[in-house]
Amino acid sequence: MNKVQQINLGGVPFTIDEDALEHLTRYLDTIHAHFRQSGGYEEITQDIEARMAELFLEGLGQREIVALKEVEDAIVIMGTPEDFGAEPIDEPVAGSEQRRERERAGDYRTGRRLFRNPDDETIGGVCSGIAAYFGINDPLWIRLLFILVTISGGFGVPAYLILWAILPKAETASDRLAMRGEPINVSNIGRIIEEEVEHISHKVSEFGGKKKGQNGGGALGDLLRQIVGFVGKVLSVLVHLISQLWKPLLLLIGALLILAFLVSWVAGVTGAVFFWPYLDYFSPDWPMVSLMGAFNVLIIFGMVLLSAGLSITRLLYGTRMSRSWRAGLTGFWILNIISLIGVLTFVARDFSNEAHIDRRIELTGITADTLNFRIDESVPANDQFNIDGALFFYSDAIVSDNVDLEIRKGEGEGFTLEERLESRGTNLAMAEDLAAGIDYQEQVAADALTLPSYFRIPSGTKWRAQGVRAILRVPVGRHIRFDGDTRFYIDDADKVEYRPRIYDNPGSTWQMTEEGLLCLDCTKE
Amino acid sequence: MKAKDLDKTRQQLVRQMRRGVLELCVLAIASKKEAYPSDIIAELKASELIVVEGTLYPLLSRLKDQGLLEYNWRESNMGPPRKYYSITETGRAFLEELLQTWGSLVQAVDHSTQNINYNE
Repeated sequence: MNKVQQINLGGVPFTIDEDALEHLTRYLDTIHAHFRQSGGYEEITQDIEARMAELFLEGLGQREIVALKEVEDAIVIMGTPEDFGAEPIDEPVAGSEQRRERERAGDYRTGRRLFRNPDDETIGGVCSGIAAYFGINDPLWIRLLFILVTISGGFGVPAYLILWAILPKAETASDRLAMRGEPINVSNIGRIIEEEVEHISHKVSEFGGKKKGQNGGGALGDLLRQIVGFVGKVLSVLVHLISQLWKPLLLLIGALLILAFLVSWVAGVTGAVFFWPYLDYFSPDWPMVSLMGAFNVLIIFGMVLLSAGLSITRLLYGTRMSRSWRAGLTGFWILNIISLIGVLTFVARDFSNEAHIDRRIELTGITADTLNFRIDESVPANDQFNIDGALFFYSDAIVSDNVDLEIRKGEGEGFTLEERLESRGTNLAMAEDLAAGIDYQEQVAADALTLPSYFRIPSGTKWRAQGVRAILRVPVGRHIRFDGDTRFYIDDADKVEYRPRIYDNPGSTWQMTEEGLLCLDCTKE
Repeated sequence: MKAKDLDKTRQQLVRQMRRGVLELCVLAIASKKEAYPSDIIAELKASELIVVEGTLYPLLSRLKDQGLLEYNWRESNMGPPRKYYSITETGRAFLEELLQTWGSLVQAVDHSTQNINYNE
């Protein structure tokens, strides 16, 4: 007993034994793979299939089902690609001698198509299919790219799902060969596109031609063929044009990437040199560690840019780094990532513990009913540079603006200032030391209190995210005036209502009630 | 090793010789009457120019693309319509030139090889 299948070969329906079908499929796969690069691929393979059908019909006679014998006989008559190699006819493709050698070894190099790769899949084989398409040896790069794109905006996930849905899976042997195909470069990109166009236009024109043959001539078929021919010509001109522009355009992108790499490198090195005197504030006990971290960052991003630039030149000129070089550089790159992780862990350890010191200052000097409150926002001049207006660098100190100002209801009779000096550190003792080292000085003069909106970290100590929280306690019944004509940035205040805001009313006087601050002379809601 | 190399070289030479005349023969066959590929193959097989049919189709496709051959669809009493190849005007002129070259080539080869004594 043998299972049978129904097939359509060259327009003729056949009933065929399953083992015979398997044999036939394998044979046709090799034929397709063999001719895929030749001009007239469609026509040749169709003709061969049509002829196979005829041979079957002749071999069958009165019988109904195609058996293995008919397939084998037909193959002997048609010949396999190995037989073609020994024949005088040779498809006019450059380097065909070399290609035949490879074909004998069973390694067909064919026109390239995008597939999902079921042999090497993490999720759906999309990445490794893309890697195969672009001739990248390791799909890891494409996966990293997808992860990067996913992290930096989440676009990676829908892109992956769409590709998963639309890309066919490489199921047959010839699919897999087509997936790898020959490397795409400037010299053949035009041809590959032309082949695809021919593939389509041929289908259409063949359809028209067949119609003509069967109906004894038809204007429609002719017209269709002319249109397709015209479209094909226009496309081939376009393809030619693009293949001419392709090279300078890619070259430009490659050059820009390499330039970006150089610029970032120079900027990084200059920055490191410039920043060197201040590195001590940030580095764990030893400044080399943070320098190392900066170096790692430069290498990691620099090499990505550089390899992007280089792979474009590779695409253009086929130049390839030797395997050992690539392995070495990849290893170096991975080493840098490991090193950076190490540095970051080391640095993170320095921030792992938090401690604070509380100071309480009774403002007994202020006896007047109203306290004039001022904020000193004038960071000392002659800073060398600053980071984002938050951290200012001087020759003898750094200055941070990480100061929280709050106004709260107080107990008792007098005004009180509470200061909490905070810092992080490798351990509690160190964090406490650093908190104690914060240089934050309130000024009391007559009935005025001036709080700076910044504090100093003297040179010789570390920056470990120090901060100051200053809370002014106003007893119920007494007043506070926000003295000055610039806006006040108060982080939190006990107020009766959200509006009016202190921020909108510089110069206003407020009274502390049981419910909180109440504005006496606010003009803006 | 040496003998094997020589054998390979000889095979290549034979292949090149056949390749040189194959187009000529196909064009000649198609110039006599409208020909179905298997007819062409039958003639070529008789003269040992090709062995398997599969090799003829790429050649026909190329000659057609070069405008030397054209084909028409003919109804067949078994199976789908068949392609019948015939020579074009361009093809005929091309063939005549080729035949002239072939004639003088045969003369030249005959002349160079006529007095060979194999037993020497």
